[in-house]
Formats: sequence, C-alpha cells, structure tokens
Amino acid sequence: MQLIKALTLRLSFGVISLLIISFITFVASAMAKGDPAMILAGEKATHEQYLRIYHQMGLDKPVPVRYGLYLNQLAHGNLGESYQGTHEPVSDILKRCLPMTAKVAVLSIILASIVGITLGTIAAVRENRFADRSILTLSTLGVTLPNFVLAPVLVYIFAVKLNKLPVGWEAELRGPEWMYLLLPVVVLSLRPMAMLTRLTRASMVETLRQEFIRAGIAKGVPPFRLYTKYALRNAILPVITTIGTTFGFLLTGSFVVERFFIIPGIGSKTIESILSNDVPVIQACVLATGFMFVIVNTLVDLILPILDPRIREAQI
Amino acid sequence: MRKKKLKDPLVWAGIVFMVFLILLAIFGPLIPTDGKSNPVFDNVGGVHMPYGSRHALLGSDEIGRSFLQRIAYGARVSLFIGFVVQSINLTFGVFIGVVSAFAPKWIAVPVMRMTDGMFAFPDILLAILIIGILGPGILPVVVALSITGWPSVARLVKTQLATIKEREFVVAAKAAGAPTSYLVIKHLLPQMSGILLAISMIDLAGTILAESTLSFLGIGVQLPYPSWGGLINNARAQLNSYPTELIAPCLILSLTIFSLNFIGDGLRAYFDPKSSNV
Repeated sequence: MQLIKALTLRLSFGVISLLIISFITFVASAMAKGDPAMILAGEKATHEQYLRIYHQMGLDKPVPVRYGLYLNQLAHGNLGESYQGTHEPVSDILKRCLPMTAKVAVLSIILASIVGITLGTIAAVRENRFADRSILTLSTLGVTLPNFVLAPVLVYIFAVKLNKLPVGWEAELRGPEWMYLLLPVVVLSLRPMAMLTRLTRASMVETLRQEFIRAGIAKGVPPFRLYTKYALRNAILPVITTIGTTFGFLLTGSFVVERFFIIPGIGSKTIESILSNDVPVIQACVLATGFMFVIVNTLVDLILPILDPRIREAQI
Repeated sequence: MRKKKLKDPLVWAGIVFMVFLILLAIFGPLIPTDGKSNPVFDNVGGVHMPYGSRHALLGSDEIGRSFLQRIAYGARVSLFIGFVVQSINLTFGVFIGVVSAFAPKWIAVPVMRMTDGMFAFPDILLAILIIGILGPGILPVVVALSITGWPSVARLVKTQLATIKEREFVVAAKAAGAPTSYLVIKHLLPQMSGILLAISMIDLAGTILAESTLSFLGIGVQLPYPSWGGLINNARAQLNSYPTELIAPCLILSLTIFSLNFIGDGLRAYFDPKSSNV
C-alpha cells in the first residue's frame, strides 16, 4: 500500500514536470520572431488565404486556449511542420533523430555506470592509498574537462594519427556501426563516469565504516563478497539517484558530441534548426530532450522506493 | 579573528593563472602584429603562419589571424560574459533567497516552488531554447545564462540563511528590535559573503564553460568575433591539416576552468570547513 502511494506520488511529479516543460516550450515558441501563418502560407498567398490559415492554426484565439490546442495536437502526435525545405512533418524528423540520440545516451550511461561504480568501489576499498589517489585525481579532471576539448584530442589520436576509427558519422557507413559510436560514447560518458566514481567512493567509504562490515570481517566473509554483496548494496542507493541527475549532463554533452561527430540525432537537429530559425523544429527538439530527461528521472524515482523500504516510508 | 591561512597551493596556482588571464584580456589585443592586415576580424588574403612566427607567436589560422590575439579577444568575451552573468545571478539569487527565507508564506512558498521548478529543466536545454527564440549572439547568451543560473544561488542562500537565522546573535539582534532589512544587510549577508564568493568562483567556471559550449555549437558568440569555443570549433575543421591549432584554445579554456574550480573549492574549504568534503 505504502509502495503504491509512493509510486503514484512520484509518477504525478513526473507528469507535472512534463506539463511545465511543454508550457515553457509553448510560451517560448509563441514569443519567437516570425508569423507562423505567414511562413506556412508562403509569400505568394493572398490576404484571404493568409487569414484562413491564420484562423485554421488558431492564432486568433487567446493564449491559454492556444496552449490547450497545442496540448491536444501534442497528444495526437502532431507537432506541426518544418519551415525549411519540403515542410517535413516535425514528428517524422523526431522519429528519425530520437532513436539515434537515445542509443548514444543509453550506451553512455551504461558505460559510465559500470566503470564509475567499479572505480569508485576500488577507490573506497583502497582509501588514501595510491589507487584511491589516482582515481580521485582522474575523476576531478573528468568532471571539469570540457567534452569538446576531450573529443578533438581523442579524434586526433585514434582517427587522424592511428587511423583506426572514423572521424565522424558518414551518410554511408563504411564498417560496423560500433566503430562510429565508440568515440562519441566514450567522450559523452566521461563526465557522468567521473561524477559517479566520486559519489560511489564517498558513499562506500561511509558504508565501510559501519558496524555490520566489521561484523562481516569478524565472521570471516571473503573480501570480494563483503565489498560487493554487503557494502555496495547499501552504498549504491545515492548513486542510483545521481544517475538520473547525470542524465541531464549527458544531454548537455550530447549536443556537443553529436555536433562534433556529425551524428544525425536530436542535438545536431536542434542546432541546425536554431541556425535556420526553424521554430517548430526547435520547439519539438527541446520538448523531446526535456521529456527524455523527465522520463529517466521519473524512472529512477520509481525504482528507488522499490529497492529501499526506508525511502518508501519517508515519502508519505 | 581567523588565524588559519589560505595555504592550499592549488588555490594560489589558480589565482596566479586568473591574474595572468585578466592581464592577457586587457593587454593581449595590444600585442603588435605586422600591421598590414586585421588580425582579429575579417582578413582577406592572409596566409597561414606556423607557431613561433614573428607576428604571431602561437601561429595563425588559415587566413593569417594571429591565434594569440584571437585568444586574448576570446578571454575578453569569456570574462565579460562570465562577470556580467555572475553579477546578475548573485544579485537575483541573493534577493530570491532572502525573500524565500523571510517573506510571509504566501509569497515564499510560490517563490520556492518556482526555484525548484527551474531545477526540473536541464540548464543548457533552457539556454538553447532561449537562444533559439532570440537568435544567436552575445546578448542572448547573457540572457540565457542569467535566466538559468540564479536558482542554484537562491537555494544556497536560503539553506544558509535557515541555519544562520537561528544563531544567538541574530536572535539577540531581533529581540533588541532590529528590523528584518537591517538584520539581513548588517548581520546575515556579511556572514555568508565568504561562501558566496567561493560558490561564485565555481559558478563562474560553469558560466564560462557554458558560453564556450554555446559558441562551440555555433549559437553563441558569432564569427568573425573570436571566442574560445569558436576557435576550438574552427580548429576541429582544420584537424587534418593543422592539428596544433587545437592546443592553445583547448589549453587556455581547460586551465581557466580548472583554476576557477580550484579557487572555489579552496575558498569553500576555508570559509566553510564542515561542508568541504561533499
């Protein structure tokens, strides 16, 4: 019962966040330069045609009504048409770009979690020894180093000098896809990886000082089992919460990484649409990215009370 | 009085680098060049100069614009945007923080909810949306980074105030009849100035990084005006022919970010030893 209550609460927070994001993007695009009806009608349209389109788009209605209309359209998967080129429906653009971005982001977060949690655990176990010091220094570097500094360095080494990996995405892939994804995923995962390493270390150090660990040692539990099954299981909860937050940093990074490696995802599309002042596409891209962020965070929020009964009780 | 000295070497290294950077920003554009062509903006008919050239110490790009000068101009842009945005964030953040700590509930609660709501939206995404609406350029970058930056300051001020508010000297001042405005200006803000300074340094690093990111993406400071992000983006295009072009802008940006973080962390440990290990 408690669990259901906690889950409903978190789910409703997620829905509210989605509404806030849709409202912000709606307001922003309503404030944007250019008259959407004029752009849709084209330059050769007569005044009557223009007025008809203006009315059809609901632009003559008050702003709250327009927000309602917008939400209705959104629920039907209709996001308008691009101003550029063949006026491709925005939903088609999203269908094309979203899977790419999601793939890179998910691979990065998996890589970041695996490496980050492992390094953090090692650092905590060897607290204040050489391994710990070096991992801490590296992770400090990893948190602060901008990814558009790291990306060209890696590209220069692996693509230009060693000629082992491609420089960036190509219209026709020459070789397996993982070769094209390797560098972007590594660059993108660095910052979340460093953050998760530091957090796992802090959380593990705290856990390793507790009584039940000493009891485990006294009982003769083998070290590996002690660290993974006893300590890590307790220490991992704040780490899981942070995976949700780091996803935000990952999205920031994905703009840079996609643009750098010319990956045809949401990030590249957003920048492209800003440069060509393509308001419906900007709006939809920001909306889609924001939704991804909220959905991941809501999922993390939903997993936590299932994993930890203490959180379940605290949330009432 | 405080006896402890600020002796973390990293902090001093950071301060030295920042002083160097400010000097570079002020005097860098005065470095003499060959005088024939414009080293910064459009330069028709220039040629590429390698590292160590007489008129371009760090070399030049493919149309003969000196890197050293472009980096110095980039430092001007980054520091200018950083300081402007940071001043706006501090002013607004402190104001909102004080309001949410002292105002009556019907004002404070909505203000706090709004601040929390800002955290629900990833910063850079909001910044990109704002720039998408206003169009690229320096002013939109300042607007975007100011709108996204203040909530973290407001939250910090609010949590700090909540603990200082209950301390004896504040309660005593209140009992003596001091009005809230006097209390805030004379007692509470001076208590927080150290930690605010520390946080501003870290936030300044974040602002400079965000500005470079936006410029790198091509939606921040617009060419031909030089910015570090733009220089890195340009060097990426030349990666095959002139890989060394990458070194200078990447290095100076990374060092700036490291220095500000070192200064911020050191100051935080100095002013607020309890929370330094987070």
